[in-house]
Amino acid sequence: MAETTERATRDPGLQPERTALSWRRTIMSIIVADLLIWRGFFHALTHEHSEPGGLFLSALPAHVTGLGVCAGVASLTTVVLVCCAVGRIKSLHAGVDRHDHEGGIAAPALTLRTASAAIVALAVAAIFAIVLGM
Amino acid sequence: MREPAWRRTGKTPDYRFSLANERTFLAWVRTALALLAGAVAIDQLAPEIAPTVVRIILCLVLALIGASLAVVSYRRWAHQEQAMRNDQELPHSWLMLGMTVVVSAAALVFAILILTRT
Repeated sequence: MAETTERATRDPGLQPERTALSWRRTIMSIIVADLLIWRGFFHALTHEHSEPGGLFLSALPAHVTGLGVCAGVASLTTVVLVCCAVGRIKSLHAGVDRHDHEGGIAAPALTLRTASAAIVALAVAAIFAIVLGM
Repeated sequence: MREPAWRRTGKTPDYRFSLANERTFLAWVRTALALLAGAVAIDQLAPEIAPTVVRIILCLVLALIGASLAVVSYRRWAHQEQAMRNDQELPHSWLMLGMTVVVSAAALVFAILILTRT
C-alpha cells in the first residue's frame, strides 16, 4: 500500500501477465484449427486435382474451390482474433493504472464480442469444410 | 461502437476480478476452439471411424457445440461482469454441467466407435 509512488503498476499476483499469456494460448489454439482447415483444402487439391496449372480457380472442381473459401475465411478469423489479442496484450502490458476508459484495465466488451464472433465464423467455416470434404 | 449500457451502471470492480473473468472467458473460447479443431481433425484424419454419414453428423454436432460455446462464453462473461458491478451474487450457470455432459458423451461415443470398428 505504501509504494503507490514508484511501482504502483506492479501487481504481486501478476494478473495482467497471466491474462496476456492466456490470450497467447488462445492464439495458438485458433492457429491449430485454422491449419487443419487448410490441410483439408490442400489434401483435396493434391488428391482430386493433380493436373498442372490447376491453381487457377476456374479449373478447380466446385467443392475444392469451396474448401479454399473455407480456408480463406478461417485465416481471416485467425487474423481478427490475433488483432484482438495483440490490442489486449498491449493494453495489459501498459500497466494497471494507465487506463482512461471507464472500465480501467478490464477488457472492453467490444474486443471480447469480436473474438467470440470470430470463433463463430471459424465454426461456420469448419462446418462447411466438413460437409464439402465428404 | 460504444460499450454496452451495463458498463455505466454500478461501480468498477477490482481489476483482478475483471481479469480473472476475462481469463475464464478465454479458457471457454479455447474449449470451443478445441471442439472445432477436434471436429475437423476427426473428419480428416479418421475417415474410417464410422460410416460417412455418422461421421459427418458427429463432427457437425461437435462443431455446432463449439460455435454455441463461443457465444455462451461471451454472455457468461458479460453476466459475471454485470453481477460484479452491481455487487450481486455471481449468476448460476449450467455451462459447466452442460460441458461435462457433452465431453463425457463425446468420449463415450468415440470410445464405442473405436472399439467396434471392424
